[in-house]
Amino acid sequence: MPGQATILIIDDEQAMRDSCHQVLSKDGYRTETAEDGDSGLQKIRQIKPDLALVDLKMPGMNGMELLEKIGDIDPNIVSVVITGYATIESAVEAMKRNAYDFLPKPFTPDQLRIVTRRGLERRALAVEAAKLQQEKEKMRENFITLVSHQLRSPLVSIRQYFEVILEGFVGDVASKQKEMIEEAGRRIDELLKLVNDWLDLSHIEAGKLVEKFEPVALTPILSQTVRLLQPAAELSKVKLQMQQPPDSFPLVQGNEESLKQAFTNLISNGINYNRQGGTVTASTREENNHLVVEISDTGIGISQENLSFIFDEFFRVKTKETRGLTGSGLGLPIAKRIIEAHNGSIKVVSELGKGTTFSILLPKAKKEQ
Amino acid sequence: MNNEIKILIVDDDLGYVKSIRAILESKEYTVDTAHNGESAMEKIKKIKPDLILLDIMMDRLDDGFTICYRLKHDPEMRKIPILTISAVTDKTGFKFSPVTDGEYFEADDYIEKPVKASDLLKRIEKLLSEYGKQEEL
Repeated sequence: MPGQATILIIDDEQAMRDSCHQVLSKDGYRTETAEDGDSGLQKIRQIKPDLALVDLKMPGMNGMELLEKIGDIDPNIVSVVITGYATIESAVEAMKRNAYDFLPKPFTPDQLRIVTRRGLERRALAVEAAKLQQEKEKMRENFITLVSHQLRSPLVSIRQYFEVILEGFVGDVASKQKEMIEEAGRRIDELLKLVNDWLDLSHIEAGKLVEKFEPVALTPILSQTVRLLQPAAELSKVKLQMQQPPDSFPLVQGNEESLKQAFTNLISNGINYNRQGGTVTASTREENNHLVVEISDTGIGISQENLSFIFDEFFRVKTKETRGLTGSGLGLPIAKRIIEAHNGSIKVVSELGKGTTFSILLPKAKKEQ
Repeated sequence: MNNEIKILIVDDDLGYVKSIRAILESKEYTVDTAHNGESAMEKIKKIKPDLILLDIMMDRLDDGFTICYRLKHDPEMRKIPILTISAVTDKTGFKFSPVTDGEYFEADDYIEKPVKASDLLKRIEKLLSEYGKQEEL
């Protein structure tokens, strides 16, 4: 129904506003007018039009600037440029600023009608697409929630039974039986961790992380992680150390919990894929506009052919040395996605038998304004 | 002593309920169960439990939330302590922690499945004694 669409005409010439208004309102559109950029923007915010006709040359804010600002308010508002100075350059310029169509003055009522109709069709599609996208997101989120619950529930239930049996609530358990139930429990725990990891991954993919960004200090996060993993390192007889950077170290824009998780995954790998007496070293440094976190180990290393797969989901290096190790194969993919969600990158250098170094590059947070 | 204390387990996972029941009965609590939102509300009104162990996702994703809301906005039943016990974690996108989301979700305590038996029993005792004190005042 064209009668329901609202069109805003922004032009400094009274004659232009009046004639456009006449043509379009006769066709059943609701029309509003504004005589310059500022009042145009105000009306855009107030009435949320479906389509805006924008003159390029106006006193005060010019049309190009106006186009950009309309796009900022709502990218789905269709802007059509009307101008007496139609050149290829200005047309290209306007398109770059989110204009959908370009109508050189003078134009006939029919030309205006065609351009308007086309613009509104575009608008209807954009609105529909945005709605579908939203529904898709919602379904995806519900799906994640449901699947994780369905996967976790039975595992949790089994785990609970084991706990009840092991704690002797339903009678005594012989030590051999106890041993086996304990082992079964550990396997269930691995599976639970896998589900959790998979959930983490889904959440990063759904863009949930960025919502929680704030300026954070990298070095304390890294040293806390190192401290937390110290017992695990001792257990594996691996030396875990951190090189302290200078006191004043720039902040990054990010989420503390997830960065901690990324560092944990990398350092844990450094510990697990190591040898008795090996070391893992964590350090931070500044490099141009970036901060670099380096996690370096003297472990078993990764062969060149495996190196290109280590960030793939569920990939695990299978060699003699890794036989006794369990893991979900999601640690590195999670670390990588976390870093990438922070607009950073992760690089790896490794030599078989010598060790592996992961370098994480994160952009510095912009100074507070 | 404990057999005078009635605890209601609200959970749709019958296997899980069985294992929790074993833990509670070891301390001689009187245990009753309900397996969905509707029957839980009926039972709560009928038996007036001294404490409720409440699962969140049952027939509907938010059954536990609804029950908790209704109880905590009822002048009589708000006095029953609620211990949420759920496999739902913050990773699933739900808010639930009484510490951070108390306004939204007014449970008295939260514990994640699977639970350590000793931890569960300790929390139950703590809630019972806290609520008991309030009653005396």
